[in-house]
Amino acid sequence: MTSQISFLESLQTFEFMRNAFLAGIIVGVTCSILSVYVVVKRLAFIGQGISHSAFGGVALALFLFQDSVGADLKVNIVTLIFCLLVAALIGWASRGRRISEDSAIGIFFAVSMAAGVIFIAMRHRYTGEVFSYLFGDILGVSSVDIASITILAVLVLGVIIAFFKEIFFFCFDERLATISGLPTRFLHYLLLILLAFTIVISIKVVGIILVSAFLVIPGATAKLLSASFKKMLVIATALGTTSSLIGLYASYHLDIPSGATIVLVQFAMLALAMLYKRLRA
Amino acid sequence: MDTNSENCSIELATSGDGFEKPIEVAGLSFAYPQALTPTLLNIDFELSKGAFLALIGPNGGGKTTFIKILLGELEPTEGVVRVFGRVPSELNELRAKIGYVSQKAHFDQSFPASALDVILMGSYFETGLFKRISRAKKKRARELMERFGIADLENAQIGKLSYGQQQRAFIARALMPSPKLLILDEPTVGIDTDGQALFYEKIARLNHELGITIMIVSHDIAQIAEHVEEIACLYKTMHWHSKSELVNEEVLKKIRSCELDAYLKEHLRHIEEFHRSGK
Repeated sequence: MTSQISFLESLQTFEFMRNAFLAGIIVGVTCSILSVYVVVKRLAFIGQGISHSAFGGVALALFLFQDSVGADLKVNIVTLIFCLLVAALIGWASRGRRISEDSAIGIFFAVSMAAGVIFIAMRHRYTGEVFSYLFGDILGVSSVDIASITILAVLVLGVIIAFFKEIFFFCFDERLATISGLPTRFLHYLLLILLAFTIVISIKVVGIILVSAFLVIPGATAKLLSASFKKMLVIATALGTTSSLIGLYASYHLDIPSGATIVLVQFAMLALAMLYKRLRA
Repeated sequence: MDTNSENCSIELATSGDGFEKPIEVAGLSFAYPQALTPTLLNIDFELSKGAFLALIGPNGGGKTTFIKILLGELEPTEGVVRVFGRVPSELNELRAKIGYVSQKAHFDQSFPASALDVILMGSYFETGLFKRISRAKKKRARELMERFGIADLENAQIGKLSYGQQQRAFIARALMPSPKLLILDEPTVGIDTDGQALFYEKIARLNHELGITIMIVSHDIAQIAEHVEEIACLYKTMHWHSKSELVNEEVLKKIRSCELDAYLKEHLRHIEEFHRSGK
């Protein structure tokens, strides 16, 4: 009980804890909703490709704005543009059957990371903060970060609500959706753009390496527990948010990295769901 | 084979709103890139309002390619194709007037959608962006489920239904926007004989009662011949016949005694002779 109070007290006392708490909830909700689409449309590899490509964007931003004022916002903006570009290139290359989708992802992901390594090497200074982008640093989330991730999260959720039924049909059967007159090319790019937005939101909290787990595990767990798309969205959101809060709480008390802790909590929930399903069968 | 449909000299005498002639095809040829021979060659085809046609032909004869062209998924290499008087890729709002059911479902069988969800997808285009599905549309979906005998499966996951039930749900989906043309690509593959007979009866009723123009791709001539009015055989070129001309009692008897292959081979031999004679 003492430790619980100290956690709550820390929320009241420290701004960085409040920011971490808010960021955990926003990222938990947004990633969980997107994860349902990632799972049903099988976009896990694309998600991983875009998130790893984000390293190139982060490194470019750190190289360009290393000493400037408002670096947090600038890093977010450059990373977003970089991720959108990579998402568009993956979408363009795979949709036109120029190269297979998995090859396109593999290529752009590796090239972006290679570019990132070069940008970091060109900085000629301490690069410690790169690790906070690679592995997440929820306690380092600034008020500017909170503002930008809130705006992006509202945009992502707004677009999903606006195109809910169209994206649903697109995920179900792309060919039938095209024949039925839905703008599937647009929906394809829209989903990739939403993924890119969500990845940028999540980088500071969970890190480039682990964000793909946020974009898969809640959706995969929800799919084990429900055969209804809407229920999956509700379950994934509840699981994603809960795991963010439990992970944050545990990492605070155990003094371990929060992003990794949240991922392990999510995995524990997935394991429990698998066990539950097995026992019910 | 590099002439596209826009500058092709072949013209169609389309008039009115296009609904009188749901499908008009003239001089259609199609070859896949790098293919040595064309898949479709110089096809003339017309489907009038209210027609009920069976499209038969051997595997690889071009049936699916022909349908893909009608749906705007492939562009003709040569010739003119009009669906409701328009180029298929420019159908826009008229897309809702075509109901299509494919031979093989392309969805993940574990996809979290109920039968009702899938049927309601048929009304998305009409409903438009940002709008919710109306109660009237849901009522219509339930009526269609009733009509096809799947009313009790409303909340069942689509992938958990039998193949026949899935196909009925997909036909109900296709009927949601009240189409004027229904294209069914081998919808009874994987359904038992009794199920097929029942299925065709229901399809025939759509034609008779609602006046929907229907083109059904099928291998089951024995089953379908009793219901359709016209039969066209596609094997690179289209061979069009009225039912009485092609499917007489003798042919039906042959088909019923499982001599479908023999029948098709014989028919194809006639086609080849026809081409050799240069007519």
